Amino acid sequence: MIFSLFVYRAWQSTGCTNYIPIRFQTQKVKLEVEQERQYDASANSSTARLFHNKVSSSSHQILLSLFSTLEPRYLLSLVGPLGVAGVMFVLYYGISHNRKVTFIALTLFLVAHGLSVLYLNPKTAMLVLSFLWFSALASGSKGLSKTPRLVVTFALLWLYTLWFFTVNWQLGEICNEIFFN
Amino acid sequence: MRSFLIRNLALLFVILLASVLRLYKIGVVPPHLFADEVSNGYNAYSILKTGRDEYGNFLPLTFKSFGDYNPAFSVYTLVPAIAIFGVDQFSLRITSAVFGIAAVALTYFLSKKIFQSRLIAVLSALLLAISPWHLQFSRYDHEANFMQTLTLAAITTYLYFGKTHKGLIAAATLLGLALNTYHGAKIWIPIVILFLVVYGFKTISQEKKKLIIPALILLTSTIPITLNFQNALIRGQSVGIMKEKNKSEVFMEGYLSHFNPNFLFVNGDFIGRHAVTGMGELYVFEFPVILLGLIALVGSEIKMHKFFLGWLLLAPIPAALAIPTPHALRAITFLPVWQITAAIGIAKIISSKLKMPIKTIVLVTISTIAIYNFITYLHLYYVHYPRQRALDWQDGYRQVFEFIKSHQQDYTSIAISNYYAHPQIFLAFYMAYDPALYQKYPDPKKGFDKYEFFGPAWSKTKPGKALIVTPFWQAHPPKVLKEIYTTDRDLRFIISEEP
Repeated sequence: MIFSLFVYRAWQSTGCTNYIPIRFQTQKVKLEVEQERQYDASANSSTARLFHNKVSSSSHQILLSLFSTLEPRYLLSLVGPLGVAGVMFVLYYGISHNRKVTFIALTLFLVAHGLSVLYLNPKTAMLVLSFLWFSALASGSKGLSKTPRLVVTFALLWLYTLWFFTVNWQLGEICNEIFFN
Repeated sequence: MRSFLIRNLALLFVILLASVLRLYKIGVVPPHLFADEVSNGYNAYSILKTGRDEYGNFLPLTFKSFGDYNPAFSVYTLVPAIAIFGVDQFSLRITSAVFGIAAVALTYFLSKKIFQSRLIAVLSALLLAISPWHLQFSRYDHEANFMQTLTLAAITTYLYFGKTHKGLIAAATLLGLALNTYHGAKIWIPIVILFLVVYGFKTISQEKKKLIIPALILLTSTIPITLNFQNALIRGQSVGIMKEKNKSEVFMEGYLSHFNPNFLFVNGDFIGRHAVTGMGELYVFEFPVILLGLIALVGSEIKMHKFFLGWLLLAPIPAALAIPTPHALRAITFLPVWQITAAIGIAKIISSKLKMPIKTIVLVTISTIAIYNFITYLHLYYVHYPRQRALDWQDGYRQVFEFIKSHQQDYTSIAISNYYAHPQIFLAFYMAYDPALYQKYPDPKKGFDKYEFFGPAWSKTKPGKALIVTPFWQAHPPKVLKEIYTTDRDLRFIISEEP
């Protein structure tokens, strides 16, 4: 069921002709430094350089880029309500039962997430991130099927996500222009 | 006394730091008083002098202000400061600063009670003391800051003394006051009450008789809202999501937006008065330690630790019921949970079984980034912010009225453009205009005394020499007396003369 959602969303994204860029852009770094330094006319140049330089600005742009893919709206567009809620639950379940393993897994997950955003083109990054999140969800399937109530909730969320993906065909947070409407 | 000082040296240092950060240049940064601050300030001055608000209502339970009927607490708390320091920018903001400092101290006691750890308590208080989110709203007069400090005081009182009758009465009184601070309190305080009742249900249900007086206090505190019910809804109707077509979708989007990492750690709120440009509401160094803290809270088996998780999940509800989102002011309900969570994360690193060299490297790295983040914030706030956000703070009015004050005796009439909203209240405040006289005018927006306010163009209606204040781009008499610039050196007003 999880795999089917991933395949459906991946198929939908094949219609995208213009992906929204998520990787940080080096041109923005220089622009940001210049914009910030104009307010430092009263401060000496060393102070201005300490706070507004390519290192600090690059860090700012990289964080913007990374965090834009952790925004709730982006994640909902990427993996749907089941993906977001499901991974949150899997995390909660993992921490409650095996904190050490969950901490290591979370660290590796965030590193993989970050590297995908920084080094891959938007199309490949989208597929890799989607695969990462659905894999995380699948890894916690044991916890999701523990009680009948959880199974029903999972099934309902699956249906809702399917509907959500169909209604959000435009992939608004991922794609600027989609071929089939 | 000496042993008390030694034992609490860290807390005293944190409170001193919080005080310096909240009081330093409070009269100058933010660069100007906002209209709501001025309205509160003039109404407080009016209460001090006449016992009536600007409209002549005697000791009102809500203040009409600009037609939004604000709860009364914040205006009445300004009265002592205005009595002592007079009518100016400093006296309007010092009360908010004091409440902000109190919140830092309360955070210490709250964390100490729940975690039984002086380290976590000191770290929590320290992180709130330097928090960009909290500093922003402690340094200008806004009701939300009073609401959150009173709520924090109520929760702390409840946790320390909730088993005693006096403790419950004190907590209820504080919550009742909090309910009358801010429009958002009408949603937040009932959530807090419900949360505390559910959380302490076992204790409460065993001693029902002790709840009677606290319940009566809470009921009494709703009187100002119920007596003015229609007016109390005005603000909610203008910003609430009830008029939206897809209410549940808008609510969910608004709710989740407050957990957006860009809002929390990188960009902050886009509204100019709510955040410094180029910074998040929290520091970047807090991101990994908050994650650690959240893991610790989720994995903890202690019920009291789950208290903060519940607080975290409930905090964005009032903000999510209004637009726009995310909204740092309405989401002030989050504070100080993020800071406490970060403190837990740091404490976990310190108490971890990592080898000493690795632990030292990790702590030194976090401390270095933290210090850099903090001094960058100070630089952005004191150097960039007054210039970048001068217009958001209606910069220019003070300079106009300083000029008018020293020259008004030379003119029979003074005309001010109302293009930038509410010039009448700015005039009344900066001139410390006699409230007893101001109250007599039925519609001061049109004019009072020798002052008049005009729209797209001014035309002379009274004989004698006139002083005219216009936005720089508006038509004005040829004889220019002064050009008024904002902190960012943008031309804002022209003061001219018509003989």
